[in-house]
Amino acid sequence: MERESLKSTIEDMIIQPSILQKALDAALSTGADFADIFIEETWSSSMSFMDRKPDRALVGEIYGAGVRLFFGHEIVYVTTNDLSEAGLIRAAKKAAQTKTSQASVSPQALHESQFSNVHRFGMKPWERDRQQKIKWLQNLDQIARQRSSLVTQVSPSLLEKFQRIQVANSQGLLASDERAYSRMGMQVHVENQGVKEGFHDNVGHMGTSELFESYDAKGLAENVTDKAVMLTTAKFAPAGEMPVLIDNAFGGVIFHEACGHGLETTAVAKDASVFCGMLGQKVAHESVTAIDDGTIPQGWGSLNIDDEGRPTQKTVLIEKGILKSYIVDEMGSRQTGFAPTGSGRRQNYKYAPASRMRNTYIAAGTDRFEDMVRDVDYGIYAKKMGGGSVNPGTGDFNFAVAEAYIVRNGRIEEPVKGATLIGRGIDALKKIEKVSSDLQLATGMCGSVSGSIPAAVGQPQILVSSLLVGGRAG
Amino acid sequence: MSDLLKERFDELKTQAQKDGVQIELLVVGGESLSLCYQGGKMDEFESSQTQSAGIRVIDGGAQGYASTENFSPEAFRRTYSAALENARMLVDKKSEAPIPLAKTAKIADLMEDLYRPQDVSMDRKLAVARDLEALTIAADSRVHKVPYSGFSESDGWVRVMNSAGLDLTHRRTSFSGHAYALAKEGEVSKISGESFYERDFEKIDIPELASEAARRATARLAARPAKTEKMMVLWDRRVARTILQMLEDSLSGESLVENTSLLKGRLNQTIASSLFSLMDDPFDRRGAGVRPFDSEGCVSQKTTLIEKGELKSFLTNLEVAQKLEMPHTANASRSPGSSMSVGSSNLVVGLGTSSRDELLKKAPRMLLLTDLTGGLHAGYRAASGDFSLPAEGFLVENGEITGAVDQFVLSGNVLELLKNVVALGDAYDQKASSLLIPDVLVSDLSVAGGA
Repeated sequence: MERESLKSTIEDMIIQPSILQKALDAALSTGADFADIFIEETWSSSMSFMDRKPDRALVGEIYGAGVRLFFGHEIVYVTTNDLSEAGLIRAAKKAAQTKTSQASVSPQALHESQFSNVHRFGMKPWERDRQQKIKWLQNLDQIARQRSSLVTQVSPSLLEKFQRIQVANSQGLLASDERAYSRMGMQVHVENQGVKEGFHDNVGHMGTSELFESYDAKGLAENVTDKAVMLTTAKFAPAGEMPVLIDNAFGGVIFHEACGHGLETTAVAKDASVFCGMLGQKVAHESVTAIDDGTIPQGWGSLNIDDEGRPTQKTVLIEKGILKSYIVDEMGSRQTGFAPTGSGRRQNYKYAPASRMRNTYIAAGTDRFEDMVRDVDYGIYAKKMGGGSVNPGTGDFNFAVAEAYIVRNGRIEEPVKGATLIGRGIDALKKIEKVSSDLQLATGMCGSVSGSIPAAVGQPQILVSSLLVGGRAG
Repeated sequence: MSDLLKERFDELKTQAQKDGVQIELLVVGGESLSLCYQGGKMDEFESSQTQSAGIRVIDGGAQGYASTENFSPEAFRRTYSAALENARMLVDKKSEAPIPLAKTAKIADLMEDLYRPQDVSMDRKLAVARDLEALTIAADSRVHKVPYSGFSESDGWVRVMNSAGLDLTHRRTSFSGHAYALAKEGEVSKISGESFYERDFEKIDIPELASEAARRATARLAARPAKTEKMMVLWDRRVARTILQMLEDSLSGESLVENTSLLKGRLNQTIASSLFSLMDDPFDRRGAGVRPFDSEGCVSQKTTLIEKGELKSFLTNLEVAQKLEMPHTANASRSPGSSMSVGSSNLVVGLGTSSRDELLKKAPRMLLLTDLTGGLHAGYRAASGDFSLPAEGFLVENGEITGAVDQFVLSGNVLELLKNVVALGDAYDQKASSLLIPDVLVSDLSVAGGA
């Protein structure tokens, strides 16, 4: 009974255009020069294992709307959980009444936007047999425990989300879309002669979860277990300035944090980015081309339309070292004069949209990884990055390296733990000397002004000639 | 807070009885207003109304969860069914000891004083938001701009009902705000700032906050890269909160159940310097974690966690206490959309006797640690307790600050750090937080820099 009724709710969520039109009329009634309404219903589920058996199962529904008004460069944003006609109009009036302006704009008649869904969806997440999902997690658990007797705990988890959105604005835009997200991950804890360590990893995509049926679970579980065990005997990393080889896939998180955030108009328009006023200028080594692409089929950070209803794009940010574009949302476009790039995103209706990254990566180069290793006399190979942060105003970044090795005389040697990479985005970009041809992407959750959203990062292997490695004093 | 909720709950309770299960409903709602100025002009005006209901169904030792923001009767029924299905999926757990529900109990202090509706005009609120930016810029000529600032007002409530007859409500109001200044001098720029949390609008002091935000942003403009060495480190009381954040998971009985606690098997043993004592105190009104009852409706209680260096207790909720056969401490923690967990209320470290000046003189050379630039996720490994955190601060020689340092990583292990506490300050930070800790002087930490 519950599955059927849930399905019908999600599919019936679309609000009649006539109601949206009335709400937009109310929103513009005091002189705002732009209004949009974002309607959302999201179903999500998470399931996790502990002590070899299913431990937790949660299902959640998000349900609400956000009415946004622009009075010039000023944003008014009002949210409600009441999606009735009266509720939406009440929220629109509440937003309008915060201010009055001389401008007089009438909303355009709504026209439904047409676009095609480039992402393949299978069964809706609530339709798929849960026993099958339990088996995926059980499989990860068993592989990890078989891999090493040092394992003390394995926590695999599966997250699924199905989001239905509708956007209408006073310029006549009306669009709706469905988005499915699936993510599977695991954490392994080990203890080796009193030394405790842990490691985790995950995979995800835009789309429903059937892709996990054919996924290389063995590879994931064995790698996570091996890395946790490896850390129990690793020594602490050395400290100092040295060459750093950063691996592909999640290595791209540094570009995302240290440069990507500074290219969002959210920072640029506030003059709070080192990239302000640098379009057309050289900001990186000529071997660096960087792209933010929302169009990759099944990509973790992909979209059909953004949360402002615009078709998403593939945006070249840096081409051969020259800054080509910012990441622009509707308000960012007003403030900076650059055309929107289909990058207005938000965690859910509780947040006004902001310019945000999608799948952001450094494009493939031509160098061979083996040659890059051979170039290093003494340095660090950062194989898997951990967490980090950046100050967009200064571009200062710092990242923990979850898996790192010493490179000595052109060879990758012993693993080390506790390494941290510290630098400034714009300096580091200029020090990327070599870029391999092996581009890969990885999934992440990006937190910023408009909440936490799925975003992919990526790069080929890169060699940074010198970075400050924070390790531990002997 | 309509009693529509009670009607919804009673319907589900009847259904739960038919299904032979227990049910608990946690509802959180509220209204908030956020105002932000940029360049002297209003930038953002956000008003939100939120409500969320979380249902927990208990079937013997199994429990399932579901939540919704849609408060229609159909949505509540659907959410209940999803929670029931989630509970029934955990077939292996059903036969475990039944998970207890909170029983109704008299609450001596409902903390009604935390709800203080105040009739403050919109103009005054706007003025606070405007001044957060304007006064911070005016506070120091090196403040280039204030990219992040804002004022928020919040009125929130929580209600817990369960099939054992419990029905508790708590409501509170608060004001908060922040200003982060971007300071520039030559090629160097730094961002730092200050924030506040107040229950009384009249106590908001923007001039003081603005000058502190500017002071913090400009203080380390002349910083030089640090050298690599082992040294004595004085954790400023604000940044010392990070020590409690690192420790918190391991103090949770849940981490014992999951076999991930660093403190497993250490009960009644010495785990810290004898100077170090720690309480969980939900009654301390200085702390933002003050509350009359926990997330499953159990009456708040005060718990000694560490007494003079000795580990005295772990935090528990009803389920965890039963599993571990440990005392129940009423530390259930969850939001409607999450599963039941264990969390601290206010963690309060006992004060020491030294003033800041006295602490600075305790060694001929030390580092005054003022900022961990990446927070915890930039390098704390919960599995081992090891940390490598990018940091900034000041060098102190013979009791005097001799210069700012940056671009270094502070590293160590949280359990070793606790043993190496050599002195504690005599005051907490005035800014409200759920973590109350004075300045902490720690010997023998690694500072690794590029100089």
